[in-house]
Amino acid sequence: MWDGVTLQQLLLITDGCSNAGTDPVYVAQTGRSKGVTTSVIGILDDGALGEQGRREAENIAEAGGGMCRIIRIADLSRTMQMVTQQTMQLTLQQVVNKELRNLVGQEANALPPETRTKVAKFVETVTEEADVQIGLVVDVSASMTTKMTSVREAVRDLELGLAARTGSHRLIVITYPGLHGEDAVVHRLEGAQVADAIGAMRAAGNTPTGPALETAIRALLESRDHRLATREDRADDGGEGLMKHYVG
Amino acid sequence: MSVSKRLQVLVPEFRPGTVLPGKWRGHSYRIMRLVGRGANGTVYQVLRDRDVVAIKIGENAAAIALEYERMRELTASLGTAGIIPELYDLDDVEHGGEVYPMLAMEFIKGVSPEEFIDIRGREWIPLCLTKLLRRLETLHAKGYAFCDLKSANLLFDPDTAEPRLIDFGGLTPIGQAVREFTELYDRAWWGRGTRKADSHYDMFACALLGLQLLTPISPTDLERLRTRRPADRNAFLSRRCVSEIKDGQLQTILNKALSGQYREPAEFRMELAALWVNDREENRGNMGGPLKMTSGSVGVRKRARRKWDMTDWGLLVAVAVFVVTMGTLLWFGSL
Repeated sequence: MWDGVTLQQLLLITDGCSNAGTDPVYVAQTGRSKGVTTSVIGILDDGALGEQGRREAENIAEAGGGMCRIIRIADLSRTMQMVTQQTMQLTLQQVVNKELRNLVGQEANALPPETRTKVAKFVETVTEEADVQIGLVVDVSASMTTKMTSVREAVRDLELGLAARTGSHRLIVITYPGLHGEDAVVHRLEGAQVADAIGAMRAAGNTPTGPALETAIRALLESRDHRLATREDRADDGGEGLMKHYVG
Repeated sequence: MSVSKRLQVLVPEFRPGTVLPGKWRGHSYRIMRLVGRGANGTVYQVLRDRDVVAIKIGENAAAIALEYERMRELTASLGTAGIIPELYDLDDVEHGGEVYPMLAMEFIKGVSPEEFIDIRGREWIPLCLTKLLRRLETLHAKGYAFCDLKSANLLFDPDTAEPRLIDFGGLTPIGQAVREFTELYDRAWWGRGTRKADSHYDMFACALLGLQLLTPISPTDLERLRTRRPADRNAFLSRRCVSEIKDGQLQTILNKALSGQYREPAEFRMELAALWVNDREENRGNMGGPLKMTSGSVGVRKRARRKWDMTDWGLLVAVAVFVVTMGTLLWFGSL
């Protein structure tokens, strides 16, 4: 059941509050029910995050089953690595906890420390070996303009970190709002070039966080369906596909 | 979900004097002071019953458990031997109705690499790196890389110059992805290799530490590099190795390690060691052989390098006043 586990997560990077379209908290909740975890990084530097934005960030992460970190732009790279890594662990830990509850009626953190280390080691191994698909949802509205080079390099750095893992990875960048009035744009760049999707964008207008998350979830699910299809074509992994692909 | 919330629980800062009862082992821990913050948690110096130990309190129980387990396995195969801090407990502590995961280990005394070099002088850099590499090689032989090697994770015994690694949260099986790192010491960040844990990853960080001890990269430069591509950072490092460092031989060796020209850390270590021996022979006349230097002679060196403070100026002024007064008296006397 643990071979070929695919983890899907969204990471929202924003310095403001949504002001158009569907409620992002609702979208994150929906994504979660489809097996996509959503985490949020809120950026403080001269943005419009404020108390409202901070609360929204926390609520999105809570509904999306992920983590929320409010940071300064200088810490972005480190935080992105940490959040993606820990979200993977968290998602797997939740699956393990569910099993443990069924088996022994307790979650890992309530187990005595010696037993806990065994669980932790197991989760760590799966985290290293799982296939992971990450949608980076990047707010490129006006106030983010000055931070774009930092975001671009943080994305490049995240790709370096993912490339070092044993399991496969796929990184998709979704920027919002679009340059021509669309809610969000999915960039189809792969590997080391993925960061170059974040260029000198000068987007104006609203901050449609909810619709952007919807677009991102759709993009992730499409690539999952694509994967499932190719796997079925090869017909090489018996009948236990569900657990493998819908962890979380 | 309870788990997602649990990861978000931020551990409060515990004040000195706070007593944290352990949940599983029957020990309690009295906070003495905060020592530092690592990626997995906050480290305090505490009293465990009557002993002074260090505890690391984290918010992520799995991360703490894993760090403990990795250290325990290594201790089982290496013995403590001054490489890994001695381990005591993996436990949970209770405070204000919340439970926090923690591990208790040996409290290690020492000075930071910068302080050490400040006290002893830059000619000690090769020896420090040599000793550090030897420890890292021991870990590599057991299939692990330390990974988060940096000044903040290292202490030196001021008398024996023995280095101690203090935060094993980044310890990673060779071949897996590096989980904890600091940009400044990260090979991949500088565009000089992958972020996979291997012996070369540690060697790079070790050479960068040497560079930082010689001439630290300014925070402004680091800030600027953060928004540049890895290729630009790579070029910056190359330029810097050529232009900024004045210490010829050490510069060449560090530069070779940073550009991956050594096949293994031991090769890097041998060249550093040779440099140290040469240096020692050249300086034998006035230094009396640094290896034999005792803590007493360190004190002498330290005094020699000390800056003038108020007492010194006060004494000088007192002497001057005394001379002028005596002179005046003599002059009056001779009238």
